[in-house]
Amino acid sequence: MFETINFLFPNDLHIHWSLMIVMYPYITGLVAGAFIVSSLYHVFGKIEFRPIGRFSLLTSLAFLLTATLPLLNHLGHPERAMNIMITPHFSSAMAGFGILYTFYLIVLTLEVWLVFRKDIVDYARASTGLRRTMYKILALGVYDTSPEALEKDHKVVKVLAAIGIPAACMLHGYVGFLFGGIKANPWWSTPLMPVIFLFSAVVSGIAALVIFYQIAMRWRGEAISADCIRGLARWLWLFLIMTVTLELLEIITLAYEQAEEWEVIAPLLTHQLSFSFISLQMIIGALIPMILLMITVLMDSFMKDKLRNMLTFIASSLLLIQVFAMRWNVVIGGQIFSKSFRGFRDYTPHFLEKEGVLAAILLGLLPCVLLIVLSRVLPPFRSQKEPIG
Amino acid sequence: MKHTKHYWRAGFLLVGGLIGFIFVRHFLVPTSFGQFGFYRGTNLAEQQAKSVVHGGKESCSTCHEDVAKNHAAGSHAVVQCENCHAALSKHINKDGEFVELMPIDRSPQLCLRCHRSLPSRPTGFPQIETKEHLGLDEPELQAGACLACHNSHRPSLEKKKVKYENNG
Amino acid sequence: MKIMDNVSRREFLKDGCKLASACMILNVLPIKIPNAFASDEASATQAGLEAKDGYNWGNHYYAYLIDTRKCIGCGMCVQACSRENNVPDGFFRTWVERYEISERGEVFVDSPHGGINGFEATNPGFNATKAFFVPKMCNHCEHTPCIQVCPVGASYATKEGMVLVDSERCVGCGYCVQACPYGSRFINPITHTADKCTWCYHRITKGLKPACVQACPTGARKFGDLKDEHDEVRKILASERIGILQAEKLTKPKCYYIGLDKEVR
Ligand code: HEC
Ligand code: HEC
Ligand code: HEC
Ligand code: HEC
Repeated sequence: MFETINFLFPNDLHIHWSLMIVMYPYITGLVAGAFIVSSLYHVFGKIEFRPIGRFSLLTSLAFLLTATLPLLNHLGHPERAMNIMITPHFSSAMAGFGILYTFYLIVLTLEVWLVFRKDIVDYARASTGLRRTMYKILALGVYDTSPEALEKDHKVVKVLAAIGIPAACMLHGYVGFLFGGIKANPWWSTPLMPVIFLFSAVVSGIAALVIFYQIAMRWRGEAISADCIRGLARWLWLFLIMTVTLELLEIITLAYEQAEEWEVIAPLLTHQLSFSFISLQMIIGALIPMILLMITVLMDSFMKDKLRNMLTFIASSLLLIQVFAMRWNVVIGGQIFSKSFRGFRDYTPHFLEKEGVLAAILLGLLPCVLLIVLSRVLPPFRSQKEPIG
Repeated sequence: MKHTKHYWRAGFLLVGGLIGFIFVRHFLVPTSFGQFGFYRGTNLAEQQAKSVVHGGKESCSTCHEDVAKNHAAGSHAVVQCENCHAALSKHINKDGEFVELMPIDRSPQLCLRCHRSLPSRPTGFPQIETKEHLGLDEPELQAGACLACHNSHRPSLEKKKVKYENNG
Repeated sequence: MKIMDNVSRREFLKDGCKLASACMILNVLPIKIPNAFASDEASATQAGLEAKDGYNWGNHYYAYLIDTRKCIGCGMCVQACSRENNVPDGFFRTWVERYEISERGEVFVDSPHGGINGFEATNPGFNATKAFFVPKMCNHCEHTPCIQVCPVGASYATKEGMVLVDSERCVGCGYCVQACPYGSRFINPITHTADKCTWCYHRITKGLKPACVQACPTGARKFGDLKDEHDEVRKILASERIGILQAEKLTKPKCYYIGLDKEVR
């Protein structure tokens, strides 16, 4: 009846939060997810994750170090970014970012440092020249690797990891809160938002680790630990179930309440976001991996390692897409409809613009490159015992 | 406290970083920040200092007394001169010096912007359908089409007549 | 007199310019603002002392009244605002919406270019039984979400109740744009900072009306000072039935509307 109306507030013709703001929660999500896996080993003593205990920490660090870049690229005045630390206005959810981010960065760096400290000292002792200087600086000039010192390190790592879990949850739950706390936007404004963000972050983090771990092992020509993949698949399945349940709950609530905002959200989901929401986020990204993971977990005893690896790999790749689609649907979906509730605009990022597709791809690859570099400096896989130099 | 040397070093780095940040921050906070609230106080003065662009119809009357008088007497007295021409600052600068001529828009679109008959206009407002008024559709009207009969500054034809009668 | 005879019309006009300009374009008045650390009584006495010369922000509390029944949709306000504040093309500090509603409850809404060039006749087939214009702008809310979400203190409320943006602190994150339920804010593509209506702070502090109010030929837009006993807006607010936009958001807007329809949000 109303199809003739497509009225947007004149200022709503522009999408202010672009692809970069999709990238940002995506990357921080990977940080939080990878960290939680490392904590499963370091705090909760899940021995099966021992092969990736250190690798997941490095993954987390690599993504954390690049997490701010999409934001900086998006800001109108990146050179003023430090204002958020200089004059943080704490009534704003965003003002906490600087502090949360720094705190988490410190915790994570300390943890990585302590976990790798023995290796660092060993490399420093074994190498010469510039390399030696680098490791010496990394060791802060202290070569104490006595069993007592290592024992102490081990305990402190546990404490740091325990602090890190709430910090990671805060950092990512906070990203969800940024959206969930906007009462002007019915598609964002729900207390479920931080929780959904957190769970899907864990999903993406575990999925990324499954992929990175398998690739790394292939690359190094080593065997993939079956226990590790089995464990990852089980946790991935659990978190996927929770994520999808929450995501559906949110929409079902909106639909059931039939509140004013459903008038705009229903067409949003079925028309504007039909591909990225229904096809990608719900079917390809959630239903199929859920079935795949269910098979891997329930029929584990009938399964050869190779098949299990393949199934988890496929499921994880789809899940990475799912989480990206979910971020897209939240960030872009929330801006596609006008606050007039009477109209929609569309958004297709260009390839070469400042906040375009190329920039997003580069920002996605950068942490991976950084991870490779970090793994060179601090080799995370224990089997590699040959001295470097 | 054996075997804690590396903790002390890391601790020093962190504390040093924190002190460094506090020190640098001290210089980066604008001096007037927080003067009146959580914002830069001098911004108020900056906001006020922006120059005024529109002068209002009173500002024209000093130089265009005759037009202003004519205008003030008719039904267009409520219509600002700058609505139909342009902002004062384009014409006369801050120091009262002449900058450039005011644009004059003789197109019927100017008049129709306010007088085109639309259902959403208040019914009491004088509005015309050009087809009825002049027998022509809007796109067919030439520049100056309305000015042939109406004076833009004092458009009401009856009042003009009254005035002429009084004079005569 | 001799001198007068020699003055040509043109020169006379030009001299007149200078004289006129003195009264016409008021100088920037220094703000006389009580020190934030001074006690209330101290600032009150200070206000009393300084009321006769400068502008004292403690003596004002502004409100804006829009009578939709009077609006003819000429869009002169949008044009004036754009010129006064140098608003970039395609962005609006104020805009005008047109609503046409049929008997069957069909709603047609549009705002071509924010109404900056007025409105054309559209919708030949649409049988509107109720139609009107609604000018919109920043509501300068008392409990405004945009200031709340600004992470760096670039957006703030003044004592007169205005919501302003410090374009030298703003980082351009766009959070305030998302937080405003009315679509009043935008990121200025030239300065890359948040931008919005200021109720022409540079004009009202000089005793002038906001540009949009001045441009309105029908008095649909009114600007008032609630601390002034004889103020027209204050009297209307006290006696008439008025509405606000999206009251359920509890932002306490200070733009009040007469003749608001349920379809307007
Ligand atoms: C409704 C629109 C409108 C308004 C309001 C208006 N003008 Fe004009 N003005 C015109 C138009 C149209 C012309 C050209 C008239 C013509 O060519 O016959 C014009 C011409 C003029 C001219 C040059 C020709 C002349 O008649 O001397 C001056 C000077 C002028 N206007 C000044 C003013 C001033 C001063 C005001 C305010 C007091 C004002 N105008 C208000 C539309 C307007
Ligand atoms: C900014 C809007 C605006 C513009 C532009 C404008 N007018 Fe008007 N006009 C008005 C207003 C307001 C009135 C007064 C209506 C009233 O008295 O209720 C008016 C009154 C009139 C009247 C008198 C109607 C009557 O019943 O007394 C005529 C004729 C008229 N205008 C013609 C014109 C012409 C011709 C032009 C183009 C040069 C023009 N107008 C441009 C706003 C405008
Ligand atoms: C041929 C001469 C002529 C031309 C050209 C002309 N008008 Fe008129 N207009 C009149 C006459 C005569 C009236 C009736 C006077 C009256 O009733 O007060 C009038 C009345 C009006 C009124 C008042 C209507 C009302 O309901 O009170 C408006 C508004 C108006 N004209 C606008 C315009 C506009 C806009 C144009 C240009 C498109 C225009 N006119 C061109 C002769 C003309
Ligand atoms: C300080 C004096 C001054 C003020 C104030 C002033 N003008 Fe003028 N205006 C002039 C001069 C000088 C000219 C040029 C006259 C000439 O060349 O014949 C002029 C010319 C014009 C013209 C005619 C342009 C043309 O092409 O013939 C218009 C229209 C006009 N002014 C409108 C306005 C309006 C509207 C305002 C008020 C916003 C205004 N002026 C304020 C001095 C002034």
